[in-house]
Amino acid sequence: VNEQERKEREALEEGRVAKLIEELSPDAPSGEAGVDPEARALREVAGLLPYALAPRAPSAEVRRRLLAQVGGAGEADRAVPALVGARGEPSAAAGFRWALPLAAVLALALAGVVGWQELRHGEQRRVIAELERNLGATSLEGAELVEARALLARRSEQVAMLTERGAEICLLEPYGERPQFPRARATMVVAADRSHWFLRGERLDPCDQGRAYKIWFETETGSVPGPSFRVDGPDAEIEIAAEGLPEGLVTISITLEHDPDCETPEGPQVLRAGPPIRLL
Amino acid sequence: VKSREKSEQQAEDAALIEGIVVRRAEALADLYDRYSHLLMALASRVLGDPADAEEVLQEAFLQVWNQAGRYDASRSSVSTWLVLITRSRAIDRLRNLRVVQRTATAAQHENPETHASPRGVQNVLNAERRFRLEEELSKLPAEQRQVLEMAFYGGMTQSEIAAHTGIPLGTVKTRTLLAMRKLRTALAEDVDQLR
Repeated sequence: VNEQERKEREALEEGRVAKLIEELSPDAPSGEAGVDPEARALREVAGLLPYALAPRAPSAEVRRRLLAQVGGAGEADRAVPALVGARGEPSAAAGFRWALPLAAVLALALAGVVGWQELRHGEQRRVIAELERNLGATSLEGAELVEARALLARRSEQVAMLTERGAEICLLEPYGERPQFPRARATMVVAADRSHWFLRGERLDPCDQGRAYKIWFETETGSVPGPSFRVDGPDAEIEIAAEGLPEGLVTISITLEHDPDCETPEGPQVLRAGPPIRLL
Repeated sequence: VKSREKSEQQAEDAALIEGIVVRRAEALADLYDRYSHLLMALASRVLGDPADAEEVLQEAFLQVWNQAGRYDASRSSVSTWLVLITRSRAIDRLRNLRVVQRTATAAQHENPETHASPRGVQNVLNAERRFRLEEELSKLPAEQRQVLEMAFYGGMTQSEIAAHTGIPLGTVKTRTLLAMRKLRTALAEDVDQLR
């Protein structure tokens, strides 16, 4: 009897799930009384399925047409949020209701990042002071002097960026659940006017012969190649600075490539940027 | 922290729907920026043609604009509501185009990795969710994944799947149930955050 009952229950459950899948609809069927929690859960499971697909960017024209149709001409021309932080920042439409809790979360995140950066910051200050002392105390000449002055200028600029209101800091962390280089980390700092940036990476594994790490700026229209760099020794730190960022930037990633001059990412993704923190 | 961020996303989504109800175009723009990549991927998967998918995407968001007041938070999260609107419109178009056969074949043979591209990932949480979904779907036996994809992306009824594949209807139903049960268990955390 138990086996018979079990089969009947199973058949009922099969029918119920089959019906639910067949009748998946954004609206409640007419006559539906209340919401069955299990049906709700299964509907959410179905709603999650498309997340397994690689995201696809529609053409910008779709957004323009849509907003023109709803009378949002101003919004139609508004740039899509530049960095991945679009979700992390309070949107105008989210309203004041979420402003305080969101601000609290951002403040906590900011405190963590700034605290971490402060350690770096102190280190940078010490390096600058030491360089200045060395420059004053020694008589460097020619190329050495040029190099020392360039390093001093670079450090000063980085410190200035780290204290600049409106600058953005992104932490790049290992990508995926089983990252190839789990210890690797990088920090990217973008100037408030987005005219220049610098990236500092650490604990990246040394590159095999012929391979190099490459920075990618992932935009609404595709991946834009950035500089490539090699790491030759264990636990080496790297620093890269450059000017300009592509329009419509969505996120930043670093891959390990066989061809450092490749135009599209081909190698494994090593690091990927999290939401940026904007310095207030 | 991530759990809190996800909860905040749900709350912000709901606030955007409220904004749309009172005809604030910027709320629609924000919602579009959040979900257009996901929904474009869905429409493209159903229809196979980017131009058709873009039309469906536009229609879906127009429907959101016109029917935001009908959104019922007790029935589904905003993201699921958007997915179901887009899916319904894409499948309607699919049926109109009379290309059910083509898509069903694609659903059987397509390797999801052929879509793999890092482009347009809007945020890290979505990327994490994507990898989890990919992983959980890859754990399903191929025959269970097949019926699920034919039903969800092909819009086929269980009887149509049975007729198309030559599998007994009872077996199709069993496979669908098993697939949904496994996903329900594996994705319990995501589902709870959406409720």
